[in-house]
Amino acid sequence: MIQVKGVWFHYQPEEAPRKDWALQDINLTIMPGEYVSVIGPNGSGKSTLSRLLNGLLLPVEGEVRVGGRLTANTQDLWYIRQQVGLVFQNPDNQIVAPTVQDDVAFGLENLGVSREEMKERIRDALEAVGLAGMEQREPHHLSGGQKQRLAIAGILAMQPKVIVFDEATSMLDPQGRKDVLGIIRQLNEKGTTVIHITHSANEAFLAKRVIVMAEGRIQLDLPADELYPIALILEKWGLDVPLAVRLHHRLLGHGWHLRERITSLEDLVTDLWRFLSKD
Amino acid sequence: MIGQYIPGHSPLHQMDPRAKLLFVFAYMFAVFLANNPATYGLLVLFTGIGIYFSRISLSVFYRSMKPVFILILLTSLLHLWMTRGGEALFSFSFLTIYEEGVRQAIYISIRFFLLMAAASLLTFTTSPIDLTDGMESLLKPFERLGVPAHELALMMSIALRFIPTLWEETEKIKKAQMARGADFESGHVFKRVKSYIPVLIPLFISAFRRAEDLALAMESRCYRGGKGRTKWRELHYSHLDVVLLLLFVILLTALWLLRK
Repeated sequence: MIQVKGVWFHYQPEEAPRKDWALQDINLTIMPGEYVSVIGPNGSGKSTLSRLLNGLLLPVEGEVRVGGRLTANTQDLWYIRQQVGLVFQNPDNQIVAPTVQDDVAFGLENLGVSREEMKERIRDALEAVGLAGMEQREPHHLSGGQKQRLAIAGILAMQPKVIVFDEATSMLDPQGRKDVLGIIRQLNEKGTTVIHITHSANEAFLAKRVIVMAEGRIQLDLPADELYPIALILEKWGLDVPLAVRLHHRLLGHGWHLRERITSLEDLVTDLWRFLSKD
Repeated sequence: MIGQYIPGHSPLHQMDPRAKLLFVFAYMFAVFLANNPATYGLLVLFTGIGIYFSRISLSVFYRSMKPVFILILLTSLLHLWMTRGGEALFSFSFLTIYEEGVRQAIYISIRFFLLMAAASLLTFTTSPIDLTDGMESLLKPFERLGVPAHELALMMSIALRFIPTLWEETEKIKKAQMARGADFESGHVFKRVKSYIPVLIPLFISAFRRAEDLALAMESRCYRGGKGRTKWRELHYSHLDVVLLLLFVILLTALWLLRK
């Protein structure tokens, strides 16, 4: 679906030495239907990467292809942006129109979708994010979580194959975050390719594949259940480690006889039950 | 503009925004046709009927027109004082009031009131989104002449979208500055205006950041100007708009016949 090959990027390529570039030799293939998370500290280049995926930015070196088409080809740009939707961090700053339904319609108007079809798509998109019945609401009367769901609906109505969430949960309250994460999972289950960019390890491990970025490079690219047991390594880049992993590590250190590898919180819980019931 | 939208279902609310816009525009010229008591009387009656059919309570109407009344009072006082002509009605040391002055003061007041009332009725009964759509649609034919109809409408629509957001932000910044000891209430006018600088600068910076974010989000959603774009909102003329047109033609004819 998406291929990133040998991509180097910097906003002012002439002025910075190559070792300081925002992206350095990024190689990445994302298959249709995947649920990938990209995790990395601030300034690791993960947001820059998201903007390269739909041609908002073009690589200085290397190439990005979506469905085989190059993002550098101007005539393919609109196809690519329709295929790859981007949900941004700040829910306020990506809502264009003064009412909920007008905002969902915005992308469809740009694509030149007929009014009849818009009606259907708007209804379906709002239903999918749980905002049905709020068509006439004004965005400033929505909560942060609702605004972000509206932003997702606006993308969803354009029927993209891939949706990139660029720290889309970082400005939300816990409830809003939970709602958005639930929608992300549902979308993926229905076949949308999801790329979730985050700095929260807990959110990253909801995906099936985790890419760790730091200093402009991909440091690790592993299935989530392979990274989980060795998640302590995330501390190396100043990232947080899931509580279960830290606890497991400490318990082992205290001489508890648990499994050497756990791949999820549930693993640890069952292990603990087993261990404690033996006594 | 004048007056804030008051949601409702009156005949005036149901008219097409384009019809109302065109009407108000034409009405502003029609008002200048009046030049005697009969024609002014007719216009006042017509506007009164308009107010009645807008189903907006007179007290609300009065309240929103209050600043206008002060302006009317001032201009009529000026006319009483300055306009000369006809018989002198009243004289007191340096102040002489002439017949013509009284007539002008009355006429100008009525004219002013009529214009403001028509504009208020428009904004009272038409939501800003509809107004924007109406303007875009009316300006569309002039696009060939280089009038950026779509861009203007989009700008207005984005402004409408962001006014409440920026307002909220202003309040937040104000509170943050107050928590740091800023004082917005005391001192003379100049000092108070100056005290708002620490609010405005962060507000502007954030507005620019928002604009940048929004531009990225719009591009991501395939925005590329007005070309090839379909429209979600549609406007429909109804029989009410035909009634409005007929009324206007009748009004115009009557004005023509009654004026001297």
